[in-house]
Amino acid sequence: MKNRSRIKLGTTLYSFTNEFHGREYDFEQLVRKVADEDLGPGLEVVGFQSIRTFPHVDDDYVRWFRGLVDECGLEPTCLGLNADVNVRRGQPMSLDAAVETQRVQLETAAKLGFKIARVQGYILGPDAYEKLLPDAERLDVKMGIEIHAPHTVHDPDIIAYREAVERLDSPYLGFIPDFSTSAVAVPPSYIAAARNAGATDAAVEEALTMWRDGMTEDRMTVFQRWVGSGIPMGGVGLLARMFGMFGRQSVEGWREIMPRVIHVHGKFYDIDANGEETAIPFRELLPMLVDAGYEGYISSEWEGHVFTDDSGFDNLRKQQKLSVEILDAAVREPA
Amino acid sequence: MWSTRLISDNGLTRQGDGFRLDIRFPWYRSLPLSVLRGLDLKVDEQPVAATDMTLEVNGQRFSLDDLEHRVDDWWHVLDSGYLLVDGHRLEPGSEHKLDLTFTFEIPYVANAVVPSRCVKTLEAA
Repeated sequence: MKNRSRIKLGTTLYSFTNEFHGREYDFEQLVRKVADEDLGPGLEVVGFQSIRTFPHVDDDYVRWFRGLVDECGLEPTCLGLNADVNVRRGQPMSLDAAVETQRVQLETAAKLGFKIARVQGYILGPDAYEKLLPDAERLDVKMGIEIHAPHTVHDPDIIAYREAVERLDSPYLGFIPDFSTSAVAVPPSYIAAARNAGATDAAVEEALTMWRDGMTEDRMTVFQRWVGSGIPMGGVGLLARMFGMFGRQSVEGWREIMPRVIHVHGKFYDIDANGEETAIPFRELLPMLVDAGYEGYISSEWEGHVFTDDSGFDNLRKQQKLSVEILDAAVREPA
Repeated sequence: MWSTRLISDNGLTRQGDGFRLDIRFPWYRSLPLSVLRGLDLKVDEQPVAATDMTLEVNGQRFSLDDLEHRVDDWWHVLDSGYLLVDGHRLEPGSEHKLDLTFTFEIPYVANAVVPSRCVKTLEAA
């Protein structure tokens, strides 16, 4: 959807996991529907989700893919890569082997016309991206390290990435903030899913109290220990995962890395009856992006499919409408 | 949610002296079979022994204890896999409660073991 700011909107097909995994829409149908519903112009895909032969693509596939995206008037923004370091039980890949898998995936990103590749901060460490920088430059594909719950910009792991990004000082290595890091509440549908799976009122209250108190990674352990003291399981397993899925970093925290942000994942969950997002502070996040001078894409990313059977398309329409309203207002009344 | 689709609707088919259960990998992307850590099935509250089961993916059959070595055999996210269970004769048209817990390890993070559970009552075709 168009908006008055210099920030461009788009969608990641990951948002439609219920529709895709449920075999209601295939990849081509999803791309066409994104265009029909005006949820572009940006199009983001996860390689191992959307492309059967990933990371390998042949010339026919490349031609077909690029033709489809062009025909639909969409722009391939970001390809999600994964480094499957632990694919062999008990034998993690060496750094060089893992780097090689990312090199192959970067080549595929380039062939398919993506200008950005999402890489993950969980497992490889800054050295991997230093080794990949010449490939990124050669292929003209920027690597964006995603900062996603449970990480924040202040975690030691992320500080190490920040230092490397500054030291390497290349436009081909930057960050992708994922808004899951800066939640202000746990989505109601998540709590409902946990209750449905058997979590008791007492368990829900305790978890939310701990979460609101300003949770840290340790809280997951503390909560699990509390759980072990006789509270029935079932939905409690799902509850414990909230500490890893919804982060508590301030909106202002992102400002520290904005000069190195190359793409944004507009993660969101429930939109309420008033059109407001219930867990992610879009009314603060989007004006912050505008004020920081960000001019890239935001991929709307609905993740409610992890714990509900709802429709990605319904949620995307609402969230992009909300985003346009906020972005338009932000350029009319600058912060 | 993936757990809703873990056991396919109409997925129970009598086969040989047992049956075949159509199942889906409960994740958003394709993964190699080597990431599977558990396929625990109960039929009408009775656990099925792992030795009575094989997994069929891409037209190939695998014993459950062989899966962790199958680094190059991929289960595509849109494909059905089939749990082939021996020695459990079902009456045609009979209804059975299937309770499956599918556990795997996410290979792109550290120490992330994900169990998904689906309980469905299906008619044996």
